[in-house]
Amino acid sequence: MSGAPLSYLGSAGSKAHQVVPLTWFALIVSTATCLIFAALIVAAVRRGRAEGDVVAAQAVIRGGNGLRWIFVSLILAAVPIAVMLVWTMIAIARTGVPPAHPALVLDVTPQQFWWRIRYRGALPSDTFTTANEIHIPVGAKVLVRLNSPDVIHSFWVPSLSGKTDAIPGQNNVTWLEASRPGRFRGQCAEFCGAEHARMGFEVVAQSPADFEAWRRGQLRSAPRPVTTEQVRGLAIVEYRCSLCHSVRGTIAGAGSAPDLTHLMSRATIAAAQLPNNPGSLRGWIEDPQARKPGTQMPNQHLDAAQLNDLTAYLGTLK
Amino acid sequence: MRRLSLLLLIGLAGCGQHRGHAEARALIAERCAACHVVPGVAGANGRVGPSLAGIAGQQIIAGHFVNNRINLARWVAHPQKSLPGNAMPDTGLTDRQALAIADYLATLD
Ligand code: HEC
Ligand SMILES: [Cu+2]
Repeated sequence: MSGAPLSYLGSAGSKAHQVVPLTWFALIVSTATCLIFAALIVAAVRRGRAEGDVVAAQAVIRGGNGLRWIFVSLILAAVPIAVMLVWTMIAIARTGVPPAHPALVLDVTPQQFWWRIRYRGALPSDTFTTANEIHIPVGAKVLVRLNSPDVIHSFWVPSLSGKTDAIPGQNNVTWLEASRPGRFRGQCAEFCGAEHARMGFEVVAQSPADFEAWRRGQLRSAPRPVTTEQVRGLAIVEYRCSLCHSVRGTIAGAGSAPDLTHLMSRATIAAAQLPNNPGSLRGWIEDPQARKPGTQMPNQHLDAAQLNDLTAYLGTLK
Repeated sequence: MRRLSLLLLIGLAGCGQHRGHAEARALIAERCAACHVVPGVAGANGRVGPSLAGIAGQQIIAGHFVNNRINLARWVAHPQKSLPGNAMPDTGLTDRQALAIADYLATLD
């Protein structure tokens, strides 16, 4: 069950470690309550039947054990509820307050229908932007600052952290800490338009050394094209895709779509909807509206030669 | 009870059409779905290339090659080698995977 990508019954980070046991407790207690009540009702019905056919309306018998039963069951019910109340308050206290000295600060900006991620460095030259794939070092407290340029979205990575809304004009913060390496699925959790359901992302937790290598790679600009196909591909990117996308090191510098500088370093495209391989890349670029009807990228109407040149160039954006 | 088993049978027959070929269908979902409509594969609703519905009954594939198991598998794995400059990219499939896909496509009549 905890193998499902969005399962909230398993945890891989310090916030989820606080919440998941509470979830299990609530689940078990409420299931048991349902079962006990169902059993009592069945028992009562059977007893009524055994006592014979429909009896003329009986007078209410007072002085029996009825009231005592009610008090006993109230107290029985109050115990798990009180436990849950205290436990919930403890869990909120432990997970709600963002770390005062985070190891890493990310500006995450969900928008219809993808996620922009900005890594804040100490210097502007240490700062870069990527999309739909958040890398974090294992064991580090990561502060996530959320804002939205369009409508309300919600940031949710069940195995690491609960939901936090991203609201236009308001800065919300949440935080992450992964306790083991892995790839964890995230999802927009607030209805935001036609492609809300197809607005996912991934959090990749890595050893600090792997994370540092990844970060250095992301800071590099795109390499210059080498072959003639790649040169023609860059030209297409610069005169068409640059309307919305940026590729650092070229004149494509727009910010209304995912940064493509290191496109090939990502495992998925289109907000975790398609695996990143030549087939899905071409299918997506030529006809994004087939996969995500209503998404902000228009169909590109490229011919075969242009597609070949374009993907030859995109292939260099490692 | 008899009615129940009848329902069950009908249900099974319904899924039976595309059962098996699990590996091929997973590969198609991953590599081909963005461009092709492929019956029996969830999410394969791309409109960049032709729909593959009924491809088993087609005589020529890609407008050039006789439709048989080997040609289909070769095309699926190495379209650029087969027909340089066409719009379909090389898929990176191994020969064995391409044959598995060709076998699945052969069921789409
Ligand atoms: C009008 C703006 C616009 C233009 C022009 C445009 N795109 Fe996009 N593109 C987008 C948006 C918006 C997204 C995010 C869509 C989503 O995931 O819902 C996107 C997503 C993508 C992605 C997936 C990125 C990822 O990591 O998920 C690729 C690849 C891409 N575009 C390539 C291109 C190429 C190549 C061109 C030029 C031929 C192009 N786009 C032209 C707006 C545009
Ligand atoms: Cu949403």
